[in-house]
Amino acid sequence: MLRRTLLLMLAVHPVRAETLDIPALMARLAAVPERRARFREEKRIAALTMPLISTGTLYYRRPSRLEKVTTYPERETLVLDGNQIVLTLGDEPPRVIPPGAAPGLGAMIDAFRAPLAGDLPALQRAFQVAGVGTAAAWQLDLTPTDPAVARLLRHVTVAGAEDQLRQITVTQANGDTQAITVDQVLSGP
Amino acid sequence: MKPLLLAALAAVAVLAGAFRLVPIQTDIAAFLPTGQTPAARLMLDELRQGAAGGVLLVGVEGAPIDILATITPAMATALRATGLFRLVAAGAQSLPDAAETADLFARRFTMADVPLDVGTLHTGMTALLRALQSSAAPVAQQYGFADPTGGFTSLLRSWSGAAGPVRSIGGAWFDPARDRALLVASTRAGASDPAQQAAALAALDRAFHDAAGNSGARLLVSGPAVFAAESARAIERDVTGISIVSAILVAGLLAWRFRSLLVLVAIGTPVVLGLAAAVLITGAWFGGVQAASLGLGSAMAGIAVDYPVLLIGHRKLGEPGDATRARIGPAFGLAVATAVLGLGGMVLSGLPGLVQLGAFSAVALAGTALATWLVLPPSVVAANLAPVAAGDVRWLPWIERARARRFWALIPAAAVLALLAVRGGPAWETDLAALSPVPVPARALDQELRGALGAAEAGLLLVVDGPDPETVLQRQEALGPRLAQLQTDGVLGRAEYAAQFLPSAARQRARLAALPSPDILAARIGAAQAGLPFQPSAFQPLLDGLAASAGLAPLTPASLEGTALGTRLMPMLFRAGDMWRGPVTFRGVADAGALRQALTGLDHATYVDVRAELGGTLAAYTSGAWRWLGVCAACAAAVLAWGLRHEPRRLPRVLGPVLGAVVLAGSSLALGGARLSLVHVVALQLVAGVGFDYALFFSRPQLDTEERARTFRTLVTCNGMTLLTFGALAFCTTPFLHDIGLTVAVGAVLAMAAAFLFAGPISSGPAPARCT
Repeated sequence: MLRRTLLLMLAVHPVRAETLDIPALMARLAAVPERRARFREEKRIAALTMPLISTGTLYYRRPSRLEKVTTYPERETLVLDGNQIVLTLGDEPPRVIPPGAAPGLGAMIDAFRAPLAGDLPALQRAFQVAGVGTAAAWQLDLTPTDPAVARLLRHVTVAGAEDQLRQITVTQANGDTQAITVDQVLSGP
Repeated sequence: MKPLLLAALAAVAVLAGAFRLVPIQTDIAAFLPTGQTPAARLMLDELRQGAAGGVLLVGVEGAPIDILATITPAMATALRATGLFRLVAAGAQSLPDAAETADLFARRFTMADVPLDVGTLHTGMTALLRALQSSAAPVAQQYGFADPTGGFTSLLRSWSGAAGPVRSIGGAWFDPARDRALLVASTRAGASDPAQQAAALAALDRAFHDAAGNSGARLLVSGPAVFAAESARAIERDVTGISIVSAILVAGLLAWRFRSLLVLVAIGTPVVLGLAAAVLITGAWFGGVQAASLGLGSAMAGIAVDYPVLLIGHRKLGEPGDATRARIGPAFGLAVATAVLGLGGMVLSGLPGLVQLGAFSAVALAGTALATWLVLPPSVVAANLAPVAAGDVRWLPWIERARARRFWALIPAAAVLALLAVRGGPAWETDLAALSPVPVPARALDQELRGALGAAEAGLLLVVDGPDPETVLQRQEALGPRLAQLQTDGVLGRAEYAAQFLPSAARQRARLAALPSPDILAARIGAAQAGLPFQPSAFQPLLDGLAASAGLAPLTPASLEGTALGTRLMPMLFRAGDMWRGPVTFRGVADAGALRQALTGLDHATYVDVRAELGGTLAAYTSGAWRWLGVCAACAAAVLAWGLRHEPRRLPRVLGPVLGAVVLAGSSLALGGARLSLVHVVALQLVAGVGFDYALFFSRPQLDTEERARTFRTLVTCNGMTLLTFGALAFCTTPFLHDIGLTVAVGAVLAMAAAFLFAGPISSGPAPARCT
């Protein structure tokens, strides 16, 4: 109930620009062992005349398993477990993707998973981390430190309230964006 | 005494000199047969020195998977830095580098078949849209707008894909069946450069130790270079072991039998001289002596030693040399002749390695016999050597009484034959690898690694040839429709050949000429993206790519040399003599008969069924061995018939037991699970040669109990030495030495028993009941 109220407040009040106690935030995030939520993803690509929308569920379990199951418009499952990425598109056989397969892939994984794990060192390995807001409504700004990654990835913002994630926005070097909004937190495992 | 010691010292000096003069060799190529059909020759050429010669297959296991997954990539990086390798691949890191990828991408219109009509473009764009929506968007975005029909993506996949069923964990290749990380490397130096190969193996070892640290991981390496090193090491170890063990066993047995150091010296002298003659003569004939020949030669010493033992063993105390010679002369001469004929099968087998083994052994036997006959009597007489007096011989009739019940021995023999017949006869070795000197565990590891990496050892090949690479590629392209039809018909799953990866320059130029003009392509793009949410300029990269490709020269094998792609191509298109060859390999062959029928009799393309060819080669050698077995047996029989012309009734008593023992020995081995091969056949022939020795001496018209006791004791000693030395040979890890050792050891015991029971006369001596 409290959580709902906070989320509502967050939706109404923009994040205030003040320095954030990042280690404390990370510790709070690390205390949640498991999360499940519905998401809505919006991709804006310069070469396209309209945004691409997809929806599905996200599931996270400490320390390193993240599942993103897209149900609309096409079924797709993306599972990150430890260092391994398995992508299943529709009815195709699962594809195991090595972390080195595409430049910036490792950094992207860290950007998604490290905030959920409350793993600040992992974040700082790939990004320069800045934080604004309060514990109730916070935002992390991640800028890649590796020039090779920066050629593809301009920056990532992760916004949330208390120990919940609210939105992750990835801006690519060419200006294309990908925003994943956590719509509704599902209870239970 | 003095002449004996002098003779012994001289013999040792001659042997030492012989070893100084003649180089010892351990190469395995000598043991590989030469093919008898063009297809088999082609295969065996490949085995000997083909492009595969420098390939090393590497496995790392014994540590947690995530650690293994870091070891092989680290090794790959270190190995590439040494400059000793043309190619090192351990997983996804082995993709072409960025510059190569870009070059290949620029040529996507000529390297791959990319249709640029409106329909294909529309289908491609729709797929691109779906990919952009998925998590695979980054990859789709990288190439999708410049290559909406996906020609390049499939090209890249075929170029960078591992050939076999490897699984990929954390970017490292793993065996699909076990937790073993895999790496494949190809040395710059060919298999014919042992020094460079050794350097490459050492670098591999170092790279492994640096990468693995103390993770507990184990390194497994296979490949021709390892085979060469490993079999050389195994043969060296075997030969050292067998010569020391044989020498100790024989010396021990003789010392126990004769209780005299001088006798030992006297017996050793002709054997050492025989070995020296063998080293010198085979060395002069073959330009060196194979270590394996020395190994068999050491065991043969166990037979050669028979001759001095027979001479000294039969000497009566105080007898002049000529008297002993006269008494045993005929049997002695025949025994030597038949034993040497027993090696005929090996000498005439046609396999260079076996030929030398046989020649070496034959010279050693003949040399020892000659030295025994010429050198031994004077020195023995001078030292007055003879076995301890026949002594108490009351035990002899008791033993000889066994002959009265000798037909009971036929029961177990018949049982063995019957059991073998029930099991459908002996199993014959059809795998040529059985003749290889490479130890069995090393071959098994190679099979595992090859299976996982899908390294080229498919059972079926179509080898396309031509005067230059371009012609080979064009001929492969001409075969393309035929292969595609076979695939459609379900005859085969997939064919893989060089032209799929690198089209001929002619085809690349033809594709270039057929490309649409920029205006036409722009119009098609516009039509294709109708109804799709792409910006009008979204596919500008495709138009740019078309314009850029116009000025590019075709890619050729020469222009790819030294690149990852060139390396990938190497085993598929290579020079062989003054020809170029491009093998077509097949996967998932469902109907080998139909494939053979469709691909036999083509111009400039030879269909090879590796297994059938190698099996056929082996069968040819084996049938040759049988033929020579027949010839040598006939010769031995003729020699015996001539030698026994005055006492023809001895002939069946000599031939019968020996032939029986040979058949029984072969049957027993087959029943024990051995797959009989050429090696067994030639070894059985040797058994016959040795067996005649026993039968001849047992069947001699025997004068008195004392002489019979002398013969019995002497032959038991001879047999014991053969059993000990060939028994020791059976412990060798080199497969054919092991096979020869086991066959001769088993055969010698059976021949001894058969000769004693059936060659000797039923006791007419002092059995009191009959004496009255």
